[in-house]
Amino acid sequence: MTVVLPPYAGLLGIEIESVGANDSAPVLRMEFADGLAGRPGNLHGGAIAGLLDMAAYAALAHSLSGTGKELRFKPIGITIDYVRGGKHRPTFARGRVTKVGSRVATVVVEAWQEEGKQIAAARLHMLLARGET
Amino acid sequence: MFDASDFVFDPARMFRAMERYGHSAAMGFRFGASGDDCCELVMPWRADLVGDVEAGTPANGAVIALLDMSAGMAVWVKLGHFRPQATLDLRIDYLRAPAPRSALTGQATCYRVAREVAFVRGIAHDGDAADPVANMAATFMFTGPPMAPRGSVANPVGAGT
Repeated sequence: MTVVLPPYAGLLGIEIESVGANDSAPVLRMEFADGLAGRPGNLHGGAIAGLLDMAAYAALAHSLSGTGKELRFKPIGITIDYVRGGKHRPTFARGRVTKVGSRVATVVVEAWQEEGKQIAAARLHMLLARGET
Repeated sequence: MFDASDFVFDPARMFRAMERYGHSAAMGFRFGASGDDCCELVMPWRADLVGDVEAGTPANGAVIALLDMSAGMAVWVKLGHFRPQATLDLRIDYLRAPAPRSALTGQATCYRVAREVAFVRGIAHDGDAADPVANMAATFMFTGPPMAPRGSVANPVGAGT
């Protein structure tokens, strides 16, 4: 199932890098560009947040596709931890749906640049749209 | 060390320098207003900021970025000077969808500065601060000492910075 990312993803240079084996969520890649820069030598926290948010969206869309559940959801809240400074190089992120309930889904996301070294993490609660009555 | 009374911190002027670079420039953030411990930034609507194409609303990531930048500015306003810092954590609650094609305003208040950490709360709204679209709480870690601006007693122009 192809997850379509919105215009904002294009602004940040975010693309789907790969869809994981065993039906795991897509990995997103954010290419570095000047428009992502924050404090000297680092990525802006807002840009990292955008990548985390897009990865969460992609993970949940991927997870819900084919389940028959209506593919509409909206975020209730997000908590972001900034673990390490992101540098001026590509950044990757992948979400993991940890729970799909009848009304709320929980997604956790990790972002990294170097394999095994997380730069940020997020947890989101998403409100699931009710099916057609 | 410098004496903070040597100069008057001007957040509008500071942001005019920042809005030309990096993520603030890419997102089109503009300075709104500031007070003793608070700062307001505006993000005009643009088609490439959109997250929900049907609704025509800015992406959640854009809302977060606006609040993150507003929060950082609020810390500097509260301090009365620039100091290198990095966001430590950020929590956003989405209260309702913004109106289609709306500009968003991020309003942040730095309510406590400790030695290593600053604490900020704020909202994002699409026209009425009494009816926000999002609520925010954030913490920042200082990553360097306070920096006096050029032209102040501690950092005079021409002295070789």
